[in-house]
Amino acid sequence: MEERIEMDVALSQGLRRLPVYLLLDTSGSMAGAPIQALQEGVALFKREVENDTFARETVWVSVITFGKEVENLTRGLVPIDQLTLPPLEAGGYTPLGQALQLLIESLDRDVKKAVPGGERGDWKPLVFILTDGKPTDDWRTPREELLKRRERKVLNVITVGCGPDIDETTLREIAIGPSFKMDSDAASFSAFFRWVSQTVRTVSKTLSRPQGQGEGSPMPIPMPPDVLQYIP
Amino acid sequence: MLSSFNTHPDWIAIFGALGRYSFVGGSAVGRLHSRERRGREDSLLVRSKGDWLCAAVADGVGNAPKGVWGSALAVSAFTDRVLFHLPYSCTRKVRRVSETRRTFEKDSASLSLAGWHEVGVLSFFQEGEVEKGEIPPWETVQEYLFEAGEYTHRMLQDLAQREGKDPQDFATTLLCCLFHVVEEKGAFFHIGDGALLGVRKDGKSVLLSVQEGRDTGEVEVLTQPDWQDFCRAGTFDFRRDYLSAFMLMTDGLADDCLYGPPEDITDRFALDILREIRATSNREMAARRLVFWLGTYTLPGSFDDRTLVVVYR
Repeated sequence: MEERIEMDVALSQGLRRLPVYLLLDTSGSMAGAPIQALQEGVALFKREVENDTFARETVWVSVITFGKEVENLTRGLVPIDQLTLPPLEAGGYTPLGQALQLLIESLDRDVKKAVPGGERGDWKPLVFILTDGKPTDDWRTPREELLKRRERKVLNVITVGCGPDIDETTLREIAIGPSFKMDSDAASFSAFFRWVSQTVRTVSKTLSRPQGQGEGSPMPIPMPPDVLQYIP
Repeated sequence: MLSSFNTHPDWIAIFGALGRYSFVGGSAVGRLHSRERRGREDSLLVRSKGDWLCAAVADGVGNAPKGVWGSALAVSAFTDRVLFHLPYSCTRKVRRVSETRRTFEKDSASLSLAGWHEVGVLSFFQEGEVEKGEIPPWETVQEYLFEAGEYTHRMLQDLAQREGKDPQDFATTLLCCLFHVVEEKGAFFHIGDGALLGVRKDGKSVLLSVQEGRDTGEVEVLTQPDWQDFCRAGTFDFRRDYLSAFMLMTDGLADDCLYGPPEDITDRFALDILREIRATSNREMAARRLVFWLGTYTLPGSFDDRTLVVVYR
């Protein structure tokens, strides 16, 4: 009698996600072409991530905007294919501190820790902060908290300042992790979001390997495009 | 005689028996490595010496360029060393654990496994009549395991030095279980992720060793200088703990069966595996089915190499 080859074995229904946070500055300085470019950039990011087999299965996104209001547009983390944004509006000041606080709340609420015999944990979250570099509220306290998490290697953060008037000293002060600056024209936004997509795809692919984010193995950031200038 | 065979095909299955215990195991390349044609970076090995059964699985760390070398050397050097220390404890005429087999060509029509992998089990010593040896105290056995860890760590360092590489290029986890089939007691050594899972007769599973307290994605490896601070060791008693089997696995599989939902996933997984293995007419077929399953099941976000060794009565 021929034996059947298939095995019927129960497996976890939980998913280990790669949480990706986009903190986007929608203050008055982004009015006009930059806010339009920002909107298109997020759409580009979604398309590129969706096109990658490994990223599509693991990447969950949260978008936090800070300007006239501070808002988590996705109400937590959503699968990449469910990422839809309302039309973005530029206005108001740059409440970076409130946005960082919202990020901390979401990290505590939405990112899962692994518990053997319990729930499967998420991968280390990846955070991109895009700002005009001129915060107008108390950003130091939440930044300190995020720095502690980064030192504990539970968070990867990249900060990018955009616009012609970026002050490198301030950017360095507010940065958590590697920081870059760029212009606020459409081409720069497009290049930035393409690079964000590449980074996410690279990280998700690395995670797919054993211990891809292991201690001592830094986040594999692809070479940034020319429009992004590294701030040492 | 042991014929030479590729120890690192994309899929490999092992099987055999020692005393009243059987074992089947398999290791399959993950989806990502398969797509990138990187090959399998997990390793597994089962050996014996008298009544001692020694099973090891290791996981070459993904970012380490020579991780596959690391994992292969780790299972080989560690089992070599720990068996070297042990007296030839044997209570009966020794039989070889299993003969070495070539490929699965015979049943290729029904199983489509032809040419995918070969099967081999290394027997540490040849068969023959031997005297009964003393079983060392289990504290001593654990010392042997630590010493084998130290030895393997040095071997990996030496290899890195010879190759002009950083030892972390050969980063690997390691889980090794040493089991005396007559005493029915075991000891384990474990660094990094993966898991040693016991299956009780009442259907409940018990995690004998698992990495805890680390954030997701962080792992300890045998090549790091402070490996001794992170390795775990312990013993278990098959009869006293009311076990019917134990399983060694790397994280590619552990991640898919240790975490819910559902809440009782580990129990269900363990029982399913045992049922499927026992449902098969012989161990060879069980091993073939196991590796076929390891290599083909799909789960969202599960891309890693998968390795499992099951030892059962």
